[in-house]
Amino acid sequence: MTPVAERPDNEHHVLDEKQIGQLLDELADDIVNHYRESTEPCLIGIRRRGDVLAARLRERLAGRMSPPPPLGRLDITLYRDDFDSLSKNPVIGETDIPFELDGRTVILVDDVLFTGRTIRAALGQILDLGRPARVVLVVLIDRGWRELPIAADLVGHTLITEPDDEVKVLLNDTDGIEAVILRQAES
Amino acid sequence: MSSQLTVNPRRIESNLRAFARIGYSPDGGMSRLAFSRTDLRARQLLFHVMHNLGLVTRVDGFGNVFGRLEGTETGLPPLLIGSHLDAVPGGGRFDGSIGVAAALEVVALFRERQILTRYPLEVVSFASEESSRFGRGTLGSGIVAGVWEPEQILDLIDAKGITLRRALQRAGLDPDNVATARRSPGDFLAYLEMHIEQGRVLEDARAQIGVVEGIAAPTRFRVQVKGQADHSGATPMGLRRDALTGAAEIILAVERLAQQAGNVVCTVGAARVDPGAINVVPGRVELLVDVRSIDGAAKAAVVDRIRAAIDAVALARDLDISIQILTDEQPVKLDQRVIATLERLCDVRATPRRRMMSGAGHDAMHIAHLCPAGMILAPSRNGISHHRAEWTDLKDIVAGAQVFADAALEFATNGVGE
Repeated sequence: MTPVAERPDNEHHVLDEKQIGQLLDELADDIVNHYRESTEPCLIGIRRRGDVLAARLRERLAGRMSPPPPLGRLDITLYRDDFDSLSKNPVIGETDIPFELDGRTVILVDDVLFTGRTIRAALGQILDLGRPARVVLVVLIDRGWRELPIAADLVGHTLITEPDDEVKVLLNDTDGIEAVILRQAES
Repeated sequence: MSSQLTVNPRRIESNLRAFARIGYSPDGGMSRLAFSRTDLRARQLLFHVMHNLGLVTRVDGFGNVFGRLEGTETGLPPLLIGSHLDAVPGGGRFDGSIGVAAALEVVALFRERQILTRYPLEVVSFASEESSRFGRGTLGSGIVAGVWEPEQILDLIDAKGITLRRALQRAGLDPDNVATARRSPGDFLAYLEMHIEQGRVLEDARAQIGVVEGIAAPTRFRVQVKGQADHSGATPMGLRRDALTGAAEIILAVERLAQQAGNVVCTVGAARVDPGAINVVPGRVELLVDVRSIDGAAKAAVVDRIRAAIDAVALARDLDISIQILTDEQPVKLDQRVIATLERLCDVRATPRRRMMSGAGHDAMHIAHLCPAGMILAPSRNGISHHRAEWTDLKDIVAGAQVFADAALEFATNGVGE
């Protein structure tokens, strides 16, 4: 992993560890304010970074929501619209939601909201597994360029990007570093 | 006693609906071919439901899904209950699914009533039970029971030319790992499966439950009839070697020999005529013949008589006829103790029952090689299955699931007996 400081010119270091932590604090505040009173809230993160963020949000909610919302992880491979071209093979059991979804308020968590296709896939899977009362979407970064009519309910940070730019959320748990990187497309 | 358990019809229906939502289109039936995306989604849903029932979940080397509930005594083999979730293209919502739903209902009841049994309980969904993708069915249970080695099936291909090996890889499974799915005699206390009947016996008998005494096994063969293709106008009748009229005699002989045998059913399910033109005497015909019985000796005898009849046709009509055996499986008798218990429990519930053979193949016929196995069947409306019109009334599914649950409690508590 290249240290953030040595990244090439077209890579911008948008957020650091402290700022990511602050955004999660704010999102946790918003979740408490908006969904504390909702029916049986639960957190479901989309693998493989949304689940890490969902776990961190849950830590921040402990003590502020009683009982703390249970945590689930979603692997959307089987539900992607580009499934056949995927190199990654789905594995039964990667999706791990150890509670019933019927009647719950699902707080769906992902790192970056872009085309909306990932969220569409996640919704497809959630509705196969149960019938929640409501699903809301929380993302750390909204970078625009939606291809489907999908919007987040809570957004940590909005980035202005070009469609070919790359936005990466790097987390200690998965990447060994904490940062949000914007890599601009070569023009 | 077992009568204290009462299954929950709403929960059974809700699970059936959940499985039917995956891959079902209201006009076209199911689309849940083995190892397809929808098949995997259904198994992912099963995984989720099992997890929520507190089962310890496991996917074996062939993608068979297991969920285990421990018993009170360690070191005992589990009672295995379940069926399959893959479906025939355009098929119905009950084939396989009702068996999985019934098994889930057993666990839900045990959890709800805090019933702990002596033996562990394992819910299973076997992979690739239907033959519609790879031309051979009950693959997952066959691997578990060691009926065939992985190498004997991994190169089977589907209609798109995809091998089973490749299909497994695309489902996230390692073909080199398939052998690890094999289990040994003694690994299971017993196996119980509930399935739709796929015939009209129960409906005609006004019975709600069919207690299966044996599962018929098919012998299937391809018959190639070679004559001489000739112009239909220029070839006098006496000079012809018509492959189709010869094939017609064979078809009628197959029907007659089955009728004479009584406990054997024979079907010529496909015929291909070459060149198949109105002005050409047929030169070549291919027939596909399916012979089934629960009596292996009777089946073999009929196959021998069919061969003799074919030889006679070849001689009389100067045709070259060859026979290629496609499958030759042995019928399986299910366990007498399990059958007796199932019948007794039907009577305790005053549920009209009928002892019968299953004409269709099921996972139970393979698992019966590992442990005592039993099956109950639920009536199929008009006998229809593998079609979108496939239907089994919820009340019949519930009646079957009730006896199924009673039997599961009995066996998991007391074992199968001497």
